[in-house]
Order: sequence, then structure tokens, then C-alpha cells
Amino acid sequence: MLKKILFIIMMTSVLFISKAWDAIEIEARGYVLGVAIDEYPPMPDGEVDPTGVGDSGEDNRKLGTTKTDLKPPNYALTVQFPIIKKATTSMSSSGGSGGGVEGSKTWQITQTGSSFAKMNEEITSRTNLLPYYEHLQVIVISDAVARKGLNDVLDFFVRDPEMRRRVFVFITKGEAKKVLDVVPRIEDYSSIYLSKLPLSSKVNSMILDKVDLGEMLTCLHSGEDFALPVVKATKDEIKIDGCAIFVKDKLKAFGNETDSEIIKLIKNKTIGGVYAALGPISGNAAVSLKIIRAKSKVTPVPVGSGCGFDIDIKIDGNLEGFTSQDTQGKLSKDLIREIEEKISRHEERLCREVIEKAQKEYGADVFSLDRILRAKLPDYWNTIKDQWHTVFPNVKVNVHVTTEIRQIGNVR
Amino acid sequence: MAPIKDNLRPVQIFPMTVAVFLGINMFTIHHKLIGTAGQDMWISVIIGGIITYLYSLPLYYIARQYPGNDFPEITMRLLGKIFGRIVLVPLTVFFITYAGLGLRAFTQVVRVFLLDRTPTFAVILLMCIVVVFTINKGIFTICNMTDILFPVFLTALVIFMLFSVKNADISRMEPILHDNTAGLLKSIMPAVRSFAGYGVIAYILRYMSTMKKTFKWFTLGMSLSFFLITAAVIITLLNFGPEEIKTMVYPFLALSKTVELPNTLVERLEGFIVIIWIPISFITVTIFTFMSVRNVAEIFRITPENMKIVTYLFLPILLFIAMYASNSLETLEYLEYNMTLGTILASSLVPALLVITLVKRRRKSNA
Repeated sequence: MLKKILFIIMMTSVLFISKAWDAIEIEARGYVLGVAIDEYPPMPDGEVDPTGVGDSGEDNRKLGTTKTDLKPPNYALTVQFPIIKKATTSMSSSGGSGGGVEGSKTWQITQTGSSFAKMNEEITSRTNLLPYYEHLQVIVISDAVARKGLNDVLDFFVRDPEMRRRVFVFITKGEAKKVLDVVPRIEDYSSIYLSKLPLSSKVNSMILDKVDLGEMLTCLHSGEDFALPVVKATKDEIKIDGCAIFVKDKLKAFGNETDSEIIKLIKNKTIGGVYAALGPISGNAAVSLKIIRAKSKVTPVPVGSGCGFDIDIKIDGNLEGFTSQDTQGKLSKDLIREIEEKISRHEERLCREVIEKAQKEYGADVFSLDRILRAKLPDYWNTIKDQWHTVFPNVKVNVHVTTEIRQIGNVR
Repeated sequence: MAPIKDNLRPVQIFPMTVAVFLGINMFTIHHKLIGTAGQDMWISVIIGGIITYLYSLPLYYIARQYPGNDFPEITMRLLGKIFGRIVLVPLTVFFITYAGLGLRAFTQVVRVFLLDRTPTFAVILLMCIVVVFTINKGIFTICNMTDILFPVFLTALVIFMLFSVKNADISRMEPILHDNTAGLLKSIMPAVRSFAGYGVIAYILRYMSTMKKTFKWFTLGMSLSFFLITAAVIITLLNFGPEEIKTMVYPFLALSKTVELPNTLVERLEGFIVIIWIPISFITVTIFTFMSVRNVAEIFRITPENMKIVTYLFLPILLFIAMYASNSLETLEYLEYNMTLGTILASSLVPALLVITLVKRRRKSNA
């Protein structure tokens, strides 16, 4: 009897449980590839028509306002959906900026509001697609929002189970939406294009990489300062252009590409690129070194009653070239040593300049020296941890760089 | 005493111990320890593991003294029918509550990683049906299921941890043991409380074909479990640091959303979490429900033929407990209360049984 009852229950349950509860057809999902966060008002208004139907002006402004009973809208959230049917297949001979395909390949929807969850919800009133964030590639934040602080912005992107911690975060001067509006020359979608740019850090020492949502959150939660890559955009191009320096969660200043290079070098994040210096054969001829390995070791040292840091950097590289033809055939062991010395001194000078700038101009410990202090000299750290931002500008930092050239190439 | 139909090989203790010991502890232990031990939580896991192992030895000794009897039978023999029954009731409450809350934690994670729209009740009900079905098939089926699932989740776990090393930063674990002795000491008991699974040995030893090498496999199982839990704690610390871990509900699971392997066959590691989490949760819930069923069967002197009825009766209880908590944090809170109950029971019952066993043994040898 029991078996019969169980059998009936099981058979009946099939009617209720034999459906994928979570099933959403692939074409019903709106794959959000990129997110831009701007300050509101004013409504961000890129050069490219965001709806693709030619009314980027007043109508879009009306559609993009979330009316809630919360406080007045203060953010504008733009999400980028790919228009899959317009994507260039790998079989096509042309791609990028609409080659062979009419119109934009993405749809940027901007929504204003004060709650990101509500803005996200409101977006569904303008599209039949359900925003799906599992494939989110980039978050672009405008400098105005970053100056107000990231803590107010990030919770939605951390809490939602669809979000991933490896999403790249970029800062831009001006409107963040403009970066998503870019129509790339090669890639179909600006978000994909932008997410691949940090990969160039393998060959470019001035691009901050591995600065993603997860890394940023770790810094924010442990109270460390950090730097994020800055991007600037034209109609069809995006460039990583230096870094944004953050103190706690607020944007403090913009650094240049050399700043990025040195921050990476000191934080042991350099994975490739080229270092160059003038000389030694001719004062005007630059010699460049392709980085194979660059390792730094930061050691806190007691200085009087306080503390300083010794930074030892070891660079291994291959001779990449001179800007003068006169050098060909002249390379000797002594000259190689001289070149190594030139590059070492050059990088040392850059390190000192950037450290001084961070101390005096930015007041931001972007090298995470506080993390090292906390780990290596915890007693001292406990005495100064609340005043670190007043102590840091006066901390003495010694930098010593040694360079070794491994290969000289085909020409002596 | 119920007749033994199934015989288990001593080696089968090994996967069973690992699975039950890892249980849901591996995923919840950070939550319990980070607040007190901070970056030294891995040390409290090691100390807690050693204490737990030492504490499990008397239990193993007692179980060995009464071959052909499992824990509820031994308890009844040593404490008498009335007092034995009184003792088994809270123990049963602890086991079934652990199983129910484990089931809820499992469902919450599954909803985050896989089935975000599937109702919690549907996931719990399905799991309950499978658990009850497996228990009804007997301990032999439970152990064989574990044998099949063990290499799968162990391989996935090791691969997952190896990939997670990629983003590790050793400075997040430092300073080690600096000015944190009080915090470390405070966290040892929560660490010991986390290791609930060692009682399984007293329930399955009875079914062994031979007692030879059972101790070896039990020790190996415990050692591997401690190693894996310690490794999981260290890797999580190296990836997130203590401050970040404090903000998370399941830090070890969050690792899967941190590691990406671009341009490889396995680009994202959520799949590994599913491979690890589902079998471990299933085995844990099954074995803890099985232990509850055995206790109840012994309390009410139910014959093996009627054991299935007891198992079916546990289905609604399991469902109720699993559905009781409103959210993840409540589940973890109730789990903590339950583990405290388990620790109190274990710390009073095991020494009492050991003393009685030793006294009886001395009397027997004197006679």
C-alpha cells in the first residue's frame, strides 16, 4: 500500500517538477556586457544614438527617468546589450564599425535613479530582454561619481549572484556612457574591446591590469588606497590613459602613464613591457629594454622612532633597440653594463619621482606600503594605523634598481 | 541487535570520514572563526582538528569494544534502557537538525550558483526524497554512493584549490600570531564545534567485515579532511584577506567567482563548486539522517523490517527544519546553536561512556 502511495506521489510530482524552473530562453536574455555609471543630473548623452532609432534627445531623457518614492535620482546607469543578430560572424570579411552591417551592434539603455536595483528593474520596462549580468565585462565609472565615493555605487554589483569579481573597473574623465558608445573598428562591442585592453599589459608596462572589482573591494574593505585604470574614448577608439588614484573609496587625483608604470613595478605587478633610457652611447639616443621579469621587494626598516622602506627592484630584460644606427657593431660587455646602469638609474629616478608625487601631491599610498607594514612590523603599525595618511607623506623610501640584460638580439 | 546484512570493507571508512568531516564545515567554518581569530584562523583550524581527532579516539575505542553494536546499541547497553533512551533523544535532535540545516545551506548555495529561480522548497523536497530513498537502501548503498562520489569531488576540490592559488597574496595572512593569542584561543572551541562528523565511526564500525585496518583508514580520513579544510581556509585568506572575508556569507564558494582561466576549456570555476558541493552535501545529509534513524529505531526498539517507516517519518521533519530558517544568516546562526548542542553532548557523553566501558572491562578481567 505504502509503495502504491509513494508511486502515486512520485508520478504526480513529475507534473510539477519536470520543468526547468530557471529556464529562460537564450534569446530572451539581455546579456549585459558593459555598465557605465554617471552622475545625474545631467542626463548623459553620447554622440551615438543610444536607442538606435534616431532620438537621443528629449524622448530618451523622458524614458530614462525612474520615478520612485526614494530620494531624487542622482545616478545614471547605462547598460550595454549586444544586438546578437547584427554581430559580425568570424566568416565575414569585415567587422567592427558596422562593416557590412547597418546600424549599431549594441543597444545602450540609460536609466536614472537613486537605487541601482530599481534602475535595473526599470530597464526591463524598456526592453523585452531580461538583463543578465553573468557575462558582464566592464564597469566604467565617471570621475564625478568616483569623487563622490565608490561605496555608494558598488553594493549592487557585489551582492547580485550574477556578478563576478573579475569584472574590470575603469574610470573616465567626463561621461562614462561615452566609452560604451564607442563603435570599435575591430571588435563588435565596445565592452569586449575595453575588457581586452588590459591584456596588453603583457607588452605594455604602463597599463594597470588585474585591477578588477574583486581587487578593488579587497582594498576598500581593508582601508587601503588603490589605483584604477583611466580610459578616454573617441568615436571609434578607447585608450587606457594613466590611472585614477583613490584614497579610501574616493577619487583623489589622476596619475599619468609613468605613474601607472611605477605603481605596477613597486607592487610587483609588472608582467611585460619596455623600459627606456637615454644614452649611454649618445646623449640623445634612447636605449630600450624589453622586460622579461621585474621583481620588487619592499622591506620596512626602522628610521629613528619611525619607519622607512627599502625597495629593491630587479629587472631582467632583452635589449630591444637603440634609436641610433651608430650603435650597431659596438656592443661590448662594458657597454652592456653601462646600459644596465643607465636603465637602473633611470627607473630609480622615476620611482623616486612617483613616490614623492604620491606622498606630497596625492597623499595616497597606492603602493600598498601599509599592507606591508601591517604584515611585517605589526607593533609599529598598531601605533600609527589611524594616522597613516598623515605619516605616509613623510615616510622615507629608498629605491635601488638593478638591471640585467639577457639577450642582445641579432646585432652586436 | 539488528542482524547485519551488509558488510563494509575497512577502506570504505576513508571516503566516508572525509565526506562527512568536510561536510558543510568546509564552507561555513570561515564565518565562525574570522571574527575572533582574524588572519590566524587557519591555526585555530589546525588546533581544533588535532583536539577533535584526539577526542574521537575514545569513541573509536568504545565502538571497538562492542563489535556488532552501533552507537545507540552501545549507549543502551552501557547506560541502561531508560537513561540510554534519555541520552539518545537530544543526540537525535542534534543529528537531524544538522542534516536539515545542512540541507538548507546546500539549497541556498545551489540557488546562488545554479537555480536562482527554483523555489527553495522544490530543491529541498527533491534532495529529501533522494536522501530517504538512499537510507532505505541501507548503509551498504550509502557507503557505495560515497565511494563513487568521493574521487569526483576530491579531484574537483584539489583542482579548484590549485587554480585559486593564482591570485594568492601571502601578505594577507600576515602578521602570523601577533598580539592575537586571546582571539586564537577564543576561536579554538568554535573550530572544534565545526567538526561534527567524527561520530560516524561509531555508527558504521558495526558493519565492517573485519576490524583490521579500520583505525588506519579512520585516521587517514580524518587527516585528509583536516588538511583539506586547513588548505581551504588558507587559500581563502590568501585570496581575500580577513577584512574581506568578514563581509562574505560563503567565502570559499565566492572563490569560484574570483578565479577565471581565460581562453581555456574551463574558463569559469562555478562548475567545480557544483561538483564539490552537491556530493558533499548529499553524503552529509544522508549520513546524519541515517544516524538519527538508527537512534530512533533503537529508542523505540523498531525491528529492521520497520526501519523504512521511521525513515519516511523523518522526511517531514527534515523538510520542516530545512524550511524553518528565513535566510542564509539565520541558517548559519541555527547551525552554530546546534553545533554547541552537539559539543555539549559529545563532551559529556563520550567521557561517561569511556569510563563505564573501562570500569566494566576491569570488572570483567577481575572476574
